[in-house]
Amino acid sequence: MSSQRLPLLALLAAAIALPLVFRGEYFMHLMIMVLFYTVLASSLNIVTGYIGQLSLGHAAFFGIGCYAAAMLTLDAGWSVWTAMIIAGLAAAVAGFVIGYITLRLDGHYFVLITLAFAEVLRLVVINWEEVTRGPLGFPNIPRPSIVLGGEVMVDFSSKTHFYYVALVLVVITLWAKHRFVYSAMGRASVAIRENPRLAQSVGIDPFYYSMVAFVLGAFFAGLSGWFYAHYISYVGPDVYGFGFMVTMLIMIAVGGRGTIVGPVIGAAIITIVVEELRFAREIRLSLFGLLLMLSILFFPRGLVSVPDLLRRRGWWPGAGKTGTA
Amino acid sequence: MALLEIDVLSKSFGGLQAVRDISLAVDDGEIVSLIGPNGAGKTTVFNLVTGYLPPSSGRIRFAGRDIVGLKPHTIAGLGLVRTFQITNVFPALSVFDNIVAAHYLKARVPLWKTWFRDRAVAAREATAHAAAEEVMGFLGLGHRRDMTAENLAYGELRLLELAIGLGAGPRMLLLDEPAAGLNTEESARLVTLLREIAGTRGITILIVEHDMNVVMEVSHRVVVMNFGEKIAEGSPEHVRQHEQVIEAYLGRGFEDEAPATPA
Amino acid sequence: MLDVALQFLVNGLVTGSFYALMALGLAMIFGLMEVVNFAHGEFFVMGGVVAYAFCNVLGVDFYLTIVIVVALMFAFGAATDYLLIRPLRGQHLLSTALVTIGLSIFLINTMLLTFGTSPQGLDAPFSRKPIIIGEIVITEGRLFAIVVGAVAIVATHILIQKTRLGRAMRATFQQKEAAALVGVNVERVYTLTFALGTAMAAIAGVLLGAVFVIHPSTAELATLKAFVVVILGGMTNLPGAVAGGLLLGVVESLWGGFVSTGYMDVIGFALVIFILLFRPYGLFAPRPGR
Repeated sequence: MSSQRLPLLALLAAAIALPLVFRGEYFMHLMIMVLFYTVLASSLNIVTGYIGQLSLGHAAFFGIGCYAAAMLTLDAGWSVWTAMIIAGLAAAVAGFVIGYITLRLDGHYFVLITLAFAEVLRLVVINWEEVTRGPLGFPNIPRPSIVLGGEVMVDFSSKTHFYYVALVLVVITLWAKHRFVYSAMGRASVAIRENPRLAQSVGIDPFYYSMVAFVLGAFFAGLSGWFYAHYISYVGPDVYGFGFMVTMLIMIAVGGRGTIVGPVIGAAIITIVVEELRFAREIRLSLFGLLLMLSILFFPRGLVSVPDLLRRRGWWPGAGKTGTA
Repeated sequence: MALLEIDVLSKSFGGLQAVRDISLAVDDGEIVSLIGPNGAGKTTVFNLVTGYLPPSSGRIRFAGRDIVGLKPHTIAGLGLVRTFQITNVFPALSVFDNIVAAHYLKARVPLWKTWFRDRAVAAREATAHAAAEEVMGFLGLGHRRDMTAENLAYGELRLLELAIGLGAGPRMLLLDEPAAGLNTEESARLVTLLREIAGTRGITILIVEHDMNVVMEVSHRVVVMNFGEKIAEGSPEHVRQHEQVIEAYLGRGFEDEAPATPA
Repeated sequence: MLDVALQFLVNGLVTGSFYALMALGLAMIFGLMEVVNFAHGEFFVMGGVVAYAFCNVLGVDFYLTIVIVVALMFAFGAATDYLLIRPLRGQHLLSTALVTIGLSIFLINTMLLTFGTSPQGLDAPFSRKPIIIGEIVITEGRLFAIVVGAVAIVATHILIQKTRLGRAMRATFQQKEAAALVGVNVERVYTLTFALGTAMAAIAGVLLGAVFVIHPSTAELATLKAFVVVILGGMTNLPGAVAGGLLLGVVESLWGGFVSTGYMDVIGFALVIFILLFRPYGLFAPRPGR
């Protein structure tokens, strides 16, 4: 039933062992960003990949997670771990409200109204200085620490500590998503994506499942925001901006939307490609844009579809089987 | 008491009367055909009955319950399931996944059980999969099990639509032109299948169809519409000789009248 | 008080005519063709950058430059449609959205590299001396921008209502299959529509360069604003897009003048949310009959 389970487990084993083998600070940072983006892109993929709605407001939920973490720990003095739960829940509540309003609209309108919500939030964050500190944002967000019996066990002074927290978040996200995908609910979501009218005719309520996916996606985006805030230790209004939105969209598109592995591949490839293109200096972003266009044109279903494409030409073992879900 | 009762049902789009005072009853176990020239309002009737469009006036009762104003998925949940005129499947999914997805009502569990599964969830999953296997076998789609729906031949696509309709576990099926585009052999097969669906499976059928051979062979009763109104009703033989019906089909009725209903 | 308001109104109309041109182009690409075009702001900036290359660098006459820019950007739009959009027609809107995102990243950074990050104005032959009409002050350049904007809009209207191509366009976007059946080359219509939309955005860019400055970093906000206006106007409603553009320009100018500049950019987005919830068919279209 779940053909995606084996590669995922193999990846997990490799990920656990990774810091034992490679210890470079820079390398660890790259891997942490890959894991962080895996959570963020996977959260968007629940909405865009499975329900099939292009939500351009997803960065707002990430931003809410970031700001919740920053404000709760800096202004309210809460523990980093409590902030984690609240960051996720705050984003989920925002997802519920925005989803309830927007999911009644179809395709093109939905794209723009979600974008408008994110923009309004971003502009409010910039302008409402009393609460959000405006364009300056929040510097010096505290690191987490694990305290047992009054003694600090892990102080997160090393990147490896963050790495394992990110890995745990990835595992939770992918587990939740795996359960979602291989269930009646996941099938209902895919049915809505493929043909909403037909889905209704077999008893599926598109609005209900769109809401579930939207709230779920918002929750995990909020969690990733919490992680980002504490790892980078600074958040500003740009976390609501189009930059993060575009990055996660590209990741799910290049990796393969509507699959569990796709956003993982996308997060890894895009993070690394952006780094590797540093040699190209100024033309880096131009090249990146070019690569994005080519990848969409030649692999419209993402890189996860490459084995299928090769198989159809007989360049890869196994029978040609297609399908995204 | 009839399973489906439609009482003086009307629908107008702007100034255009697409359906006018239609009354119709379908009894349990019956196969009834709804025929008429293009634009007569047949598909609109389907859309009204299954909640895809709100009626302007009139009553619709299914199994004794008033269903006007209910959402399409709720109506499907009551056992009144429709198919669509233009091919409608879940294109990127395999044939089997299409049919499993259609068994949603059998597999559905409370939200939290998606992540915290118990035996009941496994049992429902197993039931839904077994039912999907059975429907796939019944329609002879087993050899296409893993093929993506968008790669199916046309005739098989129409069978898959039927499979999806059956997947929802209907008491009554509304089929919108199931024979359209089928060759003679495929139509003959469809007639057999429809009889089995009504006979063995005990599913009541209301069918919109242009293929008169299919209509005459399967129907217990035929209802004829033209320009949004019911102009005749009776046994296939009766309708075949009905003067107005002949005129509707051969006379002015063939001009294109009403605009396409937003089906 | 009133004369100040009148001045803001006129300033708003100038900005509004840029919005109107951009939105008219986007209403074709997004409203009619249903391509979520994230490169629209880049097309707009590109108009200014190409004009800068001809007018300031090569020293070509300003008016001739406008003609050259329109022709080049029309061709560029046609090429973009042919190479990037056509292969993805009929696919999920995510695919075209992403390709245009890729295009926008490519264009904006290439322009930043070639044009630079500092804003530049065009060498337009307008006198800086203000024209005073009653209580209102307006410059020659701004007047020119309003006039050219109006001419472009009227020309588009005539093109769509009176010419063969216009008929083919209307047929295609009303009923694609039927249009194809009666012999309309649907693919060609799509490509020409995209090209026309691109050229519209580019004209706005040239005019902006003549009146204010060309600045590549404005592209993103320009894209978002154009989407806002298209929704205000009612998606496929071209006159609505024009009206929406003028309205947004005026409202922003009045708000910025009398209330606060901080939240000026919020207005458009807040309006979009409001409209999509209560009047999803746009501000200017009649409520569709059911």
